[in-house]
Order: sequence, then C-alpha cells, then structure tokens
Amino acid sequence: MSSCCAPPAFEPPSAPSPGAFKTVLLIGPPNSGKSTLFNRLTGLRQKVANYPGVTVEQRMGLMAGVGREDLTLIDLPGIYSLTPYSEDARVSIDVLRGRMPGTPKPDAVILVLDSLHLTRQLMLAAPVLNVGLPTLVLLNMSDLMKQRGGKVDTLELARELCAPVALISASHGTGLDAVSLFLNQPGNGTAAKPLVLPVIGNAASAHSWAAQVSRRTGYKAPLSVEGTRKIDNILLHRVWGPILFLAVVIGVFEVVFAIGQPLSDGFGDILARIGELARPLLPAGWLQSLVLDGAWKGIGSVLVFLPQILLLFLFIGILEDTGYLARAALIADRVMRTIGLNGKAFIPLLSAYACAVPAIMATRTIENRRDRLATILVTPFMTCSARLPVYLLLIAAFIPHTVYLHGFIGLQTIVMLSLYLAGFVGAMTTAWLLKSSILKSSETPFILELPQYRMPTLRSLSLRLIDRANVFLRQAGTIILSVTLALWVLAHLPVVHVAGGAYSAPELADSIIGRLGHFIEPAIAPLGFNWKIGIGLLSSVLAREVMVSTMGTLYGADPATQSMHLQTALHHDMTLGGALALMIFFAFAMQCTSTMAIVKRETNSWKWPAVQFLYMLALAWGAAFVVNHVIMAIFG
Amino acid sequence: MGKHERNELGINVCKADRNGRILKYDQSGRSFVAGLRQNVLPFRRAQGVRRVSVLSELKVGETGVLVALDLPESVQNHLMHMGFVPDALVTALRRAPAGDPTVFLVDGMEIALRHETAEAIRVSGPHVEPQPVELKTPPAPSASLQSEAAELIEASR
Repeated sequence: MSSCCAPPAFEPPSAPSPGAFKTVLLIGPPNSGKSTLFNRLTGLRQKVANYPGVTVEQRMGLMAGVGREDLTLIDLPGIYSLTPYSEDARVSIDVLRGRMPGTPKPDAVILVLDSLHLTRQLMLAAPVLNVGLPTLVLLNMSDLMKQRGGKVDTLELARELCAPVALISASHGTGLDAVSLFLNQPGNGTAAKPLVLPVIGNAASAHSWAAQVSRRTGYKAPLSVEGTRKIDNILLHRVWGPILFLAVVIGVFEVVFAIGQPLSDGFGDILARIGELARPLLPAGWLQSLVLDGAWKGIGSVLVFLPQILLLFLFIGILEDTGYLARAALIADRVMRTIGLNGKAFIPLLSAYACAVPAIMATRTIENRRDRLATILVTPFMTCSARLPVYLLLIAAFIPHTVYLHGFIGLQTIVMLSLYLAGFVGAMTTAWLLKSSILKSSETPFILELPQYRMPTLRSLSLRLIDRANVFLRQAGTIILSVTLALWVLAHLPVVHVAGGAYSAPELADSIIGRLGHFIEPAIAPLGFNWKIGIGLLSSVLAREVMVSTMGTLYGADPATQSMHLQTALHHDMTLGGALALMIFFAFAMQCTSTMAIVKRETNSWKWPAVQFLYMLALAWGAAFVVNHVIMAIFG
Repeated sequence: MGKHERNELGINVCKADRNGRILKYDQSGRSFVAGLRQNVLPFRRAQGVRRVSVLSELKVGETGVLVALDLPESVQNHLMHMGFVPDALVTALRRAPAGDPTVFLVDGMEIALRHETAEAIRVSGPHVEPQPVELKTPPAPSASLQSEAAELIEASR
C-alpha cells in the first residue's frame, strides 16, 4: 500500500479492527460513476445516466454484490469540493461529516475519481482524505483511459495519498476485488490517518497540489476523443442543432403512434380475450360483474398503454444515457434566460416528461433557492407519462387518421405535440410570472459540464424499461385496482328491490356515484363534460391514469355501453369540443398526489403544493372552457 | 502629480489635476472614461495582434491563459474546482446555437458558461500554441510583430 504511512502495529489500539466497518460511503465528483459502482456493489438498481447531477440524495444499500451483507453502502450526489454550492452537494458533505439525521455515521470512504480527468478530480482527494476516515481511492473508467493511451502509476499515487489506490471500471465490473480487499484487509482502518497534506486553503492551492501529484505519479491524460466534438459539430450547429432537436422530438411521437398504437391495440385485444376466457370460470352474477366489468375492464383500459409508455421511456433513456440531455440544456438556455430561469433548470424539466416526482428531486442541482422554487412550481406542467394514456385514448377516439406531407406527419401526432407544447408554454409562462414577481432574484451563473457522448448499453436501457414496467404494473395493482373496485361498488349501491323479493343494482344514474356525478355536473358542464367525466376528474386527483380506468369501469357498468370498446363509448357520449377541452384540462391540472407530497417535502410546507394545485386547477378550468366554446363555435 | 489609477490595461493614467479635481476629459476634450483605449493610449495598437483581456472576448478556437476570476467567492470557488484556476489554458470551443452560452475547454473538460460569467474571467491571450512544424526561415514581418507585441506587453507593465 503505502510506505509513508506508519505500519499498522504502531497505530493506537483505538483504531477499528478489521471488519469493524459498518457504513461505507461512496463519494466523488459528479458523473464519475458512483451510482454505477453502487449498483455493482449492492446489486440494486439506482438510476444512472450520462450527465452530472443524476443522484441528488443519499441512497443506502447492503453490499451484497461483494458478499458483504453486513455492510451498508451509501451512494452520494457528486461534489466538486467540500464547500457546498448546491442543495445536493450539501447532502453529500453532511453525510460525510456524519451530520445527516437518519443516516449512520460513515466508518470508511470509497473515493471514486474519473481517471480520464484525474488532475482535476484529485482536487477533491485532499479534503476528503483530510476528514481522516479510512479511504480507498478508485480510479474509474480505467478501461477507457488505457484505450486512449492514458496511464498512471497507482503505487506512486497510493504513496502520495497514503491510501490504497486501484484502477476499476464500474460499468464492466473489473477491478472490484480491490473493494473486498480494502474491506477485509487487516489494518485498513488506519490507512488514511497519518497523511500529511498541504493545508488546503483555497481552490488554487488545491489545484497546484493536484497538478504536482499527478505529475509525480506519471499521470498521462488520455487523448480526448474527437468523436464527441464531431458529433457536437452537428448537434450544436447553429442551424442543424435546433432542427435536429425538433426532429428528434417529433420523431419520438411519430414512433409512439405509428409503432406503439398497433402494439397497444394488440395488447388490448389480448387483455380483452383473457377477460372473456375467464368469464365462464366465474359464476354469473355480482362477482362476475365485479371482477370482469369492474376491476378487469378498469385495469385493462390503463394497462393497454404499457407498450406506448415503454417506447417513450426507451427514447428518454437513450437521450439521458448518451449525454444529449446536457446539450439540450445548452440549446435551451437562451429561452430559459428570457423567462428568468437558468438553463440548468431545463434538465429537471426535461426529465419531467417521464415523471414529475424525480424531476422535482432533481431541482436540487439548481444553486439559487428562488430559481429552484420556481422550477419546482412549474414542473407539474410538463407532460408526464401519466397523461399519455388519457391523451392517447381521447386522440384515438376523436381525432381522425389524416396524414399530411405524404405521410410524414399525422394529425394525431400534431394534436399530441400541441398538447405537449401547451404544457411547456404553461410552464414557461408561469415561470416568467413567478420570476418577474414574487421570486425575483439576481441571475445566478450558468455553469454546465458537458459529458462525453457514450453509447448506451443494452443492459442499462432494458433495466430502465423493466423498472418502469414494474412501477406501472404496481400502480395498476394498487391505486387503480382499489379505485376501480370502490367505483364499482359505489356504482351498484344502493341496491333496489325488484319483483319477487330479489335485489338488483340501481340504474347507473341513480347509484351513489351517479348522484355524486350529477351533483358536480353544473361545475363542469360549461367545459363540455358529462357527469361520468366529472367522476373521472375526481378520482384522477390520485393519479392521472386513474381517469382512464374510471372511464373503463363506468362505461363498463352502464348496460348501454357495456359491450362497446371504450373509444367508441366515449365517442358516442362526448362532443369534439368536450374531448379537446378534457385534453387541455389534463395538460394544465395538477392531478397527482405523489407530486403534491414531494413538493411539500422539498419546500417544507403545505403552502406551495396548495397554491400550485389551485393555480393549475383554475388555469385548467379556464383553458378547457375556452377550448370547448371555440371548438363548438367552429364545428357547431 | 495627481492621483494615479490603474485602468484595465494596467497603464497609469492621471485622472486628477494639481488641485485634486477629478478630470474626466483631457485638454483636447477627449473623454478619459469612454474612449480611453481608442484615444489616450500612448502608442498605436499593433496591427495583426489582437489582445484579449476577458474570456468572453476569445473567438471560437482561440486559447487564453487564465489570470483571475472577478466573481463572488462561492462562484469563484466552484469554477476553480472545475478547473478554472490561474495559469490554466482555456479554449473557446463552440458557441451554443443561439450564440450564448459558450462551451470552453479546460483541463480536458467541456464547460458551458454564459457571456456575463465569461466576461468576469480575466485572461491573457490569445495564447499561441508552440507550432510543432519548424519554419526554415522565420518571416521577418512576423518577428518584428512579435517584438512589437513583447514591447507592447512590456510597456503595459
């Protein structure tokens, strides 16, 4: 290991004996591969991608990947120094210093450095080693470094740092035996103690120290790849850059329709057939009706959209893993600055196309508190994947299959894009209003690191899709199942007497749910919604896709529409104006309890989610009202 | 002699008369404040040598040597940990499609900064990379240009 450190025998007995570690920290600069290593060492599936700031809070896991289930590993957001610059960095520093409530004090540290930029990354080594915990230094992406002709003398580096150093590749899993050795080796608890480091007063001295160390250890930086620059010459081109950006976005939606729709239809047929096959297995009567017409129809109507949602996630995954996301933020900075936000806010906003909950967490990378709050408040406007089933259902039911420009773009795609655009414009306008009034602040500098392009691995993409499918199915099995069951029961109560002493379900309009729907109908009638839609709006406050399952259950419970496809049933029951108004309502309204909960957690008060909910509701109602009346005036 | 101040080129400029009144104009009426660099410089600017004093003045493809960061402490510290330390070589790599921000190459990393941030980072340059190809006969005009540039730098000190 290191010659300048005192031999273990001379260490005070208070030093932890081998195996006494309980908690090990993963720390390092942003985008150095900590989470990839975490996933390797724990066997968990923490989200990884190719841009700085993917991890924004500490994650814990048992080190099952190296057979040490007795050890807890903590993954931390990336930091440049021990002076916190943003909220996520503060988390890392607090955990490292053992000041984080609810997180155990660390016993050992694994410092992960990107070997491609070792000189700069070493600047973090001095303050981390000075904390005095046993530390293992891992130089990640060593396979790439060697490929590109870089090299470093690890033994010499270990001597300089007085800590064991190993070359690894977290993505390929090579060199990880160093971790087991570090955790099991006798005397490892003391390795970092006697290190004499220069007093690191400021960044300049830290940098000159790092530069000296890397020179003394024979570090040869790998040749920078020309590939990334060549790709950027096109993707960040004055003209082609924005055009390609738009082409990618339009292409994604075309694929979601052109390839996704037949897949979803096929999947829907399979689900319906399963329902029919199960029908003879259940006794005719209320149980059959509950299971098949209530629960299965409700869940099935949402599950149908699984292929299309997975397609969308595949594209988001490719954008995140290649490193394009940071470029998108760069292109968008100009727009973001006119509304008073930082280009960095664009990264959480883009990831909100998948789901607002992780996006709101990701705002922790925004340094300015007011910018961060403004971003949190507008994030739910971005069209998350939970809106997709509602849009897809209504578009398939109401928008004709017309194509323009020789089949290049379809009317359905245009409507879909307009809905996404509506959400984006809603977000931008609100942000501008906030930033020019209550959240006014001086501009914070835009500092964004552009990662090198990387080829996304099939493994990481498929893991993402499997995880997403799991989330979707879990949602269907819990929230959607319970809501549909409750709706079915409410739709069949109170029971009415029929001749011969038997009981039967009431007319749907006379059931509890029917009366509730008719009670709220006056509030939504101006928008062109009937009472069934009203019930859907109420239940979709839990989660947006519940809307679709509610429609499935309600139209399935109504004898008049029972045998119809949900699209056909809706088509018979709604006007075009009402349908478009419903889509625009969903574009603006904040119907998601998980988002409200996360906003409360991140802003530390119920005030902001309440303000946000009411504001978005008012906007949604107003926009739907306008759309309904305009469409009615145009198309009669 | 009046109070001496240093302008951004580091040249001593007398801005007050003997009675201590601050002068804004010289005797011919030229402004010290506005047109200082164009009108009051004691020497003619050398043709062909462009002097750059802040990062945002670098053209795409040019490299400067970082001198100092005139930014709030926290931002300065953050940037320094990203490699923007004095004496570092910083290359302007490309501008975003909208013309701003600019991507800079420092320490092998690509970092995007907005114009107003780059404006607060002082550099000297453009720095000319030593050419690997040796010229058989160094052309005379360029040599004189270089000596003139050296003289210019000397004079500004």
